[in-house]
Amino acid sequence: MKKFFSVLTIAAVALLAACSSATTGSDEFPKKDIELVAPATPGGGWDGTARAIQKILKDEKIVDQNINVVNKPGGSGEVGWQYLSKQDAHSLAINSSLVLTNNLLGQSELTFEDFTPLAILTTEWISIAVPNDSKFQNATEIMEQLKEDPTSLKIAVAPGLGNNDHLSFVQAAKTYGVDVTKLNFMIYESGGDVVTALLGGHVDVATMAVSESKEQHVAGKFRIVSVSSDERIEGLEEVATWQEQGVDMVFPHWRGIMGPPDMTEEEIAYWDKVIGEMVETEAWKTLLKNNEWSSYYLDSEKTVEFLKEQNANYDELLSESGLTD
Amino acid sequence: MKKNIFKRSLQTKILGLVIALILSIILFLSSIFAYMDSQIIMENSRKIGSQTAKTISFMPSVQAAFEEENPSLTLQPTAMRIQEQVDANFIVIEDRDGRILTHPDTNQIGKINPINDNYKAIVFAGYYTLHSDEHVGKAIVGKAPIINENKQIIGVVTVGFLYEEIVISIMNRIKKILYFALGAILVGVIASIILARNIRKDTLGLEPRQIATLYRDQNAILSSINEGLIAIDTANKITLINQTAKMLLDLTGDFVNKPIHYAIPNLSVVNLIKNKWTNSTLELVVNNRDIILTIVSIKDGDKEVGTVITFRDKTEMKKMINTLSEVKKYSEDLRAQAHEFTNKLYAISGLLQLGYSEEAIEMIQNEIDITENNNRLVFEQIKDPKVQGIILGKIGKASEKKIAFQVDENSSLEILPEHIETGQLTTIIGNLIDNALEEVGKLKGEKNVSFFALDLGQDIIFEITDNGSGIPDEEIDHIFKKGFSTKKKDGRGYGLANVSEAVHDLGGTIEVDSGGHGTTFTVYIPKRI
Repeated sequence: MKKFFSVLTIAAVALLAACSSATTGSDEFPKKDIELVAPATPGGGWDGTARAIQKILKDEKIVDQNINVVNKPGGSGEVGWQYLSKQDAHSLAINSSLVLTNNLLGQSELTFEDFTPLAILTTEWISIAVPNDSKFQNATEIMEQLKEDPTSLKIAVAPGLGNNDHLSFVQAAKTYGVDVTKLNFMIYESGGDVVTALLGGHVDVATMAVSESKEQHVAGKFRIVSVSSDERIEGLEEVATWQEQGVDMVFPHWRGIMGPPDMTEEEIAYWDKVIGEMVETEAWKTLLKNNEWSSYYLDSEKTVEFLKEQNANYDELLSESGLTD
Repeated sequence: MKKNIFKRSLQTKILGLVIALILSIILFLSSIFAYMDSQIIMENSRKIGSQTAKTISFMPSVQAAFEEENPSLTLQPTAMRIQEQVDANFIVIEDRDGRILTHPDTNQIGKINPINDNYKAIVFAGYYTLHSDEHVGKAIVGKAPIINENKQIIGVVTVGFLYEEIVISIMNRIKKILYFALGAILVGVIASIILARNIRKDTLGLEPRQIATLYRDQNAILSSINEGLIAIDTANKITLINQTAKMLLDLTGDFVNKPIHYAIPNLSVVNLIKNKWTNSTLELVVNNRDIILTIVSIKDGDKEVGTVITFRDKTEMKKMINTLSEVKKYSEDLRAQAHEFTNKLYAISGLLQLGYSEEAIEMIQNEIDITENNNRLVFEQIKDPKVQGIILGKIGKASEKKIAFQVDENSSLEILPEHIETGQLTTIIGNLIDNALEEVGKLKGEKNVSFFALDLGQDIIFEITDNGSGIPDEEIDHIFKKGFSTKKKDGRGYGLANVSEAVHDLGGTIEVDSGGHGTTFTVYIPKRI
């Protein structure tokens, strides 16, 4: 038995040696071109984030290797992430809270634990908007009305239920004590359609990203009555946050980056270094400004903690009706 | 009570142990298997539940039914049909408000259910499974939202598997496992009975306790006997060797399971086999020790299972033999003296009765002279009491045989050094004188044997001379060999060999000088070793 164990130990040591010799030092990594997976069609937030990262890492010479962006659209990110889970450490993918909610809503078997989270990069905030002629001056009035009669308002959201725009509205309503099971959501194909519906007066309220609503609000086409950020947003100083309106909630729509499962310490350290450098560049800051994104950088270690926390929050939000029978 | 457990028979013990072992293993494995099995059944129920719910929620006919006046009419048959197909216990479809549209119990249709469990589906369009007892009973259920073309949620499908049913199917599986387990236990019991029997057969039906007792006794016996004892198996490997054997063969360490020739190098297999059948003794020199082996084969029925070799140190045996022979000789010599004396008394009595008193007196005077002369020589010249004893005995013996036995008047012998033992003296002097007496006994006419002893130099010298016919030249080289005898009788022929051995043991030499006119044996024994 002793003999057997010592043989086993030797084998294990040999194996470890083989493994570590395969990745001697971070100066060896990366050995080939980097692949950046955008789990969506070109043109969206994920695609934009991926291409921005590619450009900055090349322009600033932070990474020597070539970086290729690959679009893998489908299943709210599912297709791209399934693809990533079978790649090696030279592939990364952009992610968002969908990596958590897809799993919680039974759309995907994969969750953040099946990957190596590397960083949270940015966040967008979510706005609640009403038509110009709406009787609601603020979000509290909307919630009061819904508390009275949850079915009384048509709420526009795109592109489907269970996304951040939807979840943030539900969380706010739930926090306020609204029976969210009766809410009347109108589902549209895209943010553009939501804007159109709001402008056309087809809906009473809309929930969408600040980047989608800010322009119309500034132009006076409709009114933003609440944002999900912790502080008022630059350029929208007149709009109060949920917290200011008595709903204790901050709801970030964050985007991050992750690698395939089982990356080594060295590989994680390499990306921590690279991304840490990237978010400090002027180019990155400019990119955030142009997209109405806020910086929300967390390194790999903090990202893992953040994701655990977020997952618990989402689970609570999705599972517990908060209804008292 | 506790005592009784250890008093049980081997069969009971083995049976108990094996059954306990098998039972525990089977219970352990069965419970693991049952656990895994039930996990699988649960998982399957969960999977089938969620997949079926999903499938139903995607069916266009189901989605379309919600547009109708009474959706139940369409939905109920569909749901019940699918329920049968997937073996679910219930399929319940509710609308957004929790109104029941299909239910295996038609009385429930139209009732409103609280929508706690439907929350995730109704609010977020989630697909999920959970443990619920909202519909029929405690069940594992799969839920799926029904979504219309506007992507709005219009209802929820619930596909459920009752725990009771799952437990029953798990129980059925476990029952099957138990049948196998029972079979295994049965096989185990039978096997253990066979095993126990087999062991009993090997132990000649003895219980381990008895074997242990026997073993202890045997050890005690073996260490108490002062014969060397080695038992070997049929492959000539040592199975047992006692302390005396090790001592005699000068061995240390463990010799069990080693070939016999490790212990006794010059015991040839041929010898071993030959002697086994004849049960005879065999003499070997091992470690400069003369040992006499007795080889006996151990038989189980008529099958040979091994061999026992017992042996003793011949020197020890010789001591015994010598003592015995001494006693024998003394008594013989005394008898001879008494006989001789009686004869002489008869002669004197005869002479007196016939009135030859002169002759009688003369005879008595002669007798006294001879005796005195002899005794004087013996007692004055030879101071050593051991030699005196031997000589006196032999004088009687010679006298009876009408042999003139003379102690040379030039003899002179002080007390012998202590290392010369009585046994050795008896062997050397007694044997030589006996041989001489025997030799001259064959003669007609004058029969003379004389004894001479001297210890003036470094050596003690004994000389025994007879006037016999001598030893032929061709035999002179063999006379000291074992088994050689000029006398054709059994059990003889060790005399001179023993003499020579005793002389050598004392570091001395022996010479023989034999012409056609008698033989002289001269023995030289150094005073100091």
